[in-house]
Parts: sequence; C-alpha cells; structure tokens
Amino acid sequence: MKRYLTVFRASMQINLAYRAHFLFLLLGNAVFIVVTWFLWKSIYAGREILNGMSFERTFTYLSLAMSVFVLLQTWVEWGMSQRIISGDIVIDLLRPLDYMGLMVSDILGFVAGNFLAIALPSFLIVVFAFGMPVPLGLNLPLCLVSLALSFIINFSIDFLVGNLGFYTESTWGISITKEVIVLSLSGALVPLQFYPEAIRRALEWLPFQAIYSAPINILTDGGMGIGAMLKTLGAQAAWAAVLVLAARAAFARASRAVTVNGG
Amino acid sequence: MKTLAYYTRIYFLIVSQYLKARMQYKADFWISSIGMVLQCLMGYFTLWILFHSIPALAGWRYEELVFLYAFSLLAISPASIVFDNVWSLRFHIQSGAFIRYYFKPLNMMFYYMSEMINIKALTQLAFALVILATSSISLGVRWDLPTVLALLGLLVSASLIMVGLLVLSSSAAFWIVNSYSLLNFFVRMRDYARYPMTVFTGFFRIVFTFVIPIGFVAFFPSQAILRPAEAGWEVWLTPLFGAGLFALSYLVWDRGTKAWSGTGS
Repeated sequence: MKRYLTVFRASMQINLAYRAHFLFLLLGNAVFIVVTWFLWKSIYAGREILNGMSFERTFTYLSLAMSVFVLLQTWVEWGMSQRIISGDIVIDLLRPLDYMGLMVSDILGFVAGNFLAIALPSFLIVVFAFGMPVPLGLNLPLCLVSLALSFIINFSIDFLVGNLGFYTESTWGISITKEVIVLSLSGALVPLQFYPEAIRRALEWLPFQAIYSAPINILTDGGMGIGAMLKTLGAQAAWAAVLVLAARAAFARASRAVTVNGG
Repeated sequence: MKTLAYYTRIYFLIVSQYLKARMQYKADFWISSIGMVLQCLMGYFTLWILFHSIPALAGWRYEELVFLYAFSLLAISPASIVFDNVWSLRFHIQSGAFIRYYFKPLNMMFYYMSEMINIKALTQLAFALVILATSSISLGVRWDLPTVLALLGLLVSASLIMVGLLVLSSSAAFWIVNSYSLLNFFVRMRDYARYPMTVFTGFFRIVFTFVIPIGFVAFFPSQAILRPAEAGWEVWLTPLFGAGLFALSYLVWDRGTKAWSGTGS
C-alpha cells in the first residue's frame, strides 16, 4: 500500500507543479458555467419547466456535470496506448506493482488536484455566486461515495479502451471515439430527461449514465429519498464491479500478446 | 526574404514526408476519421435533442442552427488541418526538443507547423460541407455571386480568428510550460460559438464579442448570410479581428521563441 501511496504523492506533486495551468483551468470552468447559464436561460425562454426539470435544476446539473467531466478527464487510455506503442509499458510491467493499481494511484494523484482546484470551486460558484438551491444533508457524503464509484466506472472504461493499444496504434482515434460515446450516452452535455423516451430507456441499461447522472442527481435532487439514493449507489457499485473485472481480464489477456520493438 | 513559391515548395516537401510516415498506419487513419465524424455528429445530435423540447432558440430555428454549426466547423478546419501541431508544443517545450527549430534557415512558426498535417480533419471539413449544403437548401439560401464571395471572405476571416486563438494560447507554453488548460479552453469555447450570440446579454455580450471573440467564428457571419436585414455592424469587424488576432498570435509566438530559455539539456 505504501508503494502505491508514493506513486499517488508523486503524481499529485507533478500535477500541482504548474500553478498557471490550474488558474486557467479554474477560470475556464467559471466561464463555461456562465455560458451555460446564458445558453440555458435562452433555451428555457421563460418556461418554468422543460421535461420535468426546472431551469435551476438543469443549470446546476450541467455545471456540475462539466466539473465532473474535467475531474474525470484523465487520459488513462491515452497514456496507456502511448506507453504500449513506445514499448515503455515493459518498464511498468517489470515493477513489483499491480499494473492497474499503479495506474489508479497515478491517476488519483491527478484527480485529487483537480477535485480541489476545479470540482469544489465550481460547486461553490454554483451554490453561492448563482444562489442555486442544493439541499444539504446526507446527500453530501453519499454524493462523494457516488463520485468515487463514478471514478471507478470511468477509469475502468478508460483502462479497458487503453488495452486496444496492444492491437492498434490509433491513440487519438480510439480516445476521441470513446469520449464521444461516453459524453453523448451519459447525459453529460444535455440532461437525459431531454432525450426522447425510447433512447432514454435504452441508455438506462448502459453504464454511462452511472458516471454523470448518479452523483449529480444524488446531490441536487431534493425529492430523492434515502432508499432511492442507496439504490442508485447499488447500481453504480454493480457496474463498477463488472467493469473492473472486465478491465482486469482484458489486460491479462492483452499483455500476454505484447510485442515490443526489439524486445 | 524567401519567396512565397520557395515556402510553398518546402511545405509540400515536408508534408509529403510526414504523409509517407503516416501511411504506415492506415488503420489509424480510418479509426481517427471515424472518431472525427462521431465528434461532428455529437454536436449535431446535441442540437437535435435540444430541438425536441423547444421550437426555436433565441428566435433561431433548427435548420439555421445547423447552418451555424456547419459554419463553425468550416471555420475551425484550417486550424485543425494545418495548425494541429499547436497541441504538441507544450511537450516539445517540456522535454526541450523544441530547440531544434532554432537551427533551420526557415521561419520558425512555418517550420514547426509544417511538420504535421492533420489529414483526419478533412473528414470534419467534408461533414461541414454536407450539412452546410443541406441546411442552406432547406433554408432556401440563394447562392448568387455576392453571397458566395461573402461566405468565402467571412470563412477566411473566421478561420484566422480560430488559428490566432489556438496559436496564442499554445504559445503560453513558452512561459508557463503547461498551456493545455488555456488551449483546451479556447477549443471548448468553439463549442459555444455555434449558438446565437443574442443569448448573451449586457456585459457578457461584450466579452464574447470583443474579449473572447467567438461571436465572429460563426454567428455574425451566418447572420449576415441568413438574415442580412438583422445583421449589424459587427460582421464588418470579422476580417479585422481575423487579421488582428493572427498578427497578434504571430507576435506572441515570436516573443515566446525569444523568451524561452530551453531546458539546459
């Protein structure tokens, strides 16, 4: 465990070394929140409710979804396939660490910095600067649990996709394809309530909605009882377990097929 | 002063070498092209979903917004095809590899950008042309000579704005090394360039017109073509902003290459 903690600390330090980067990330996110406010104000055009969602709820949902997006955008599949293609993956495989564990600790260092610099300030901006009503209670700790599960689901999908680096050299192509699929099927850009009924039904059977909708709904949906929250967490946990196992199986299989230049 | 013909010849020489190397990875080209098309479709899909719930956005209809979207994709195309190397600048700076661009008897920005041509972005261009055509047919746009000339002139100006913004933000790497957040900011701003600027009011209307000039990337030009009666003086600023931002970005890049102290290795 100590070895993984060292990796975590080092990655957090590397990430925090570039202060200006964080400043721009934070400012940028604040601008996106403002743009979202204007755009959706215009979409609502004075209507109280659209698809069962009030403007306040939609705006809060989208602003937080944007922060979760930045939080979870960790380029796992990008880094993995780059190292597979260059052959550097061999060094990682030789380390006395579990490869997935190594990646998780490395990425968590990155995510921890992003959480402090992006997610938390964005949440504060939405609640205090825009005065959005967010119920405070048991939903706060449960949202953090849900966010952790979102991280595991998102990480496992990235890790699963990163394995494709063993079979193809197309890092960018795979990465963007995955991003588009995750973003459009998870409701990160437009709340799922806006999707046509049939599409929404189908999406409920896929893991992507568990990444964005789950933690944000737990946080912002005041009408959600404790039972419903636990049910959401249960579904997330089930997806997380399935995807972690799938990612491990894929890696075990693919890394046996590793061919490295001159290796 | 080297001539334009000389630089054109050099450009094709460098680019053809790059393409030869990329031809090794045919699967990459196809996978990336599919990814690019999916990315374009995502923007289209978002509009389609939105207009399920609303009849118009700030008075603009679905087909008009598709036209705006097409225009914004066309405007970003030159930046993504020819200037794609902006994304690697921070890695070259971080590792120190950028030093080699100092040793060639060529304009540095020219040499650096010519080292990569993003052929997969041609699919974005093709996608944009198709939806521009379909939306302008359903909107009944009359493509007479003045309109075509206006479209071309505005596209060139809007492209220069996008190129300027990307070069400007990536050049920050010369001072702060990790320019990703800045670069990513402008690329994500582009996603909002496809909405009517009239959704913004007051202070932020001014910000998105003059400070972060995304209004010129698609809205003001499209307004001049689709609703000439409503178009104001802003559209005339498009070429001015295009030329000005590109010149500014070149100056900053030039300053940056002089200010960068290398990594010492």
